[in-house]
Amino acid sequence: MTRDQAMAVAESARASFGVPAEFALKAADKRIVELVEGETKVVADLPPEPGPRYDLVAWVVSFAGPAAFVQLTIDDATGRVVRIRRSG
Amino acid sequence: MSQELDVANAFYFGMLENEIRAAGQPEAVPLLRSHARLRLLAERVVAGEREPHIALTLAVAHRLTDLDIRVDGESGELVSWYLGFLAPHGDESMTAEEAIGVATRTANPPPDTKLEHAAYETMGGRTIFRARWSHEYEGMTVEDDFIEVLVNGKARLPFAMTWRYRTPKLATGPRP
Repeated sequence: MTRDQAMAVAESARASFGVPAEFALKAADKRIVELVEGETKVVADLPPEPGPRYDLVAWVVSFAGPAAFVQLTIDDATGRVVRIRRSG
Repeated sequence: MSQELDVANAFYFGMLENEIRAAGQPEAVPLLRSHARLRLLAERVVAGEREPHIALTLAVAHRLTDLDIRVDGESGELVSWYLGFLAPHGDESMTAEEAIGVATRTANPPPDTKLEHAAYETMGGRTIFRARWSHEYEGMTVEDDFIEVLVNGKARLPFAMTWRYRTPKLATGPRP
């Protein structure tokens, strides 16, 4: 998955994950992220549930608004949104 | 031997506790044993006119400071340590290069880490030097992994380290 593809996935998924319409897409970084094994729903907010972990190559796409942000984490291999993080 | 040391502890701290109570500060009694302890220096058997007995030579060790240590509850690995008494009264008398050297010798960062920040800063009126490494694995940043060392430039010593570093186990095929 390229950066542009990751941003396109995030843009198309933002509404279903509650990213406010006024938040602008600010960045997309390819990282190795640690997720909780067996987690089938999106992890909303920090910290994640305890449990066995696994690592994944993913794109972390950040949307920012006034004094707040939302990050959608997208599996590089499948294009699925696997985690959402919100500030505050 | 531990039995004799127990007797010595009971005697010595019992005496101190009585003196503290007599001085009108009974609320200090429960705190006494967290601030001092007896340290065994020597032990010998004394034979004389009386029945042979054991003589202990002891020193009183007083606590100077707290050392806070955090350990990962799953792996048992050290996560961080903080030596409070070295945190204040820092200045920038140590050069940045020297401070990086102190931090590097303290952390001994693995080869796949990258020094991303190394500078003096002032927080809450304290001047500290912060060195922070990120972790890169196969050319990608490992999220939330970092190693950080705080240095007191005046004392020329580190006073805190946080270590968050793991070897990723990348998922392949169907996701767990």
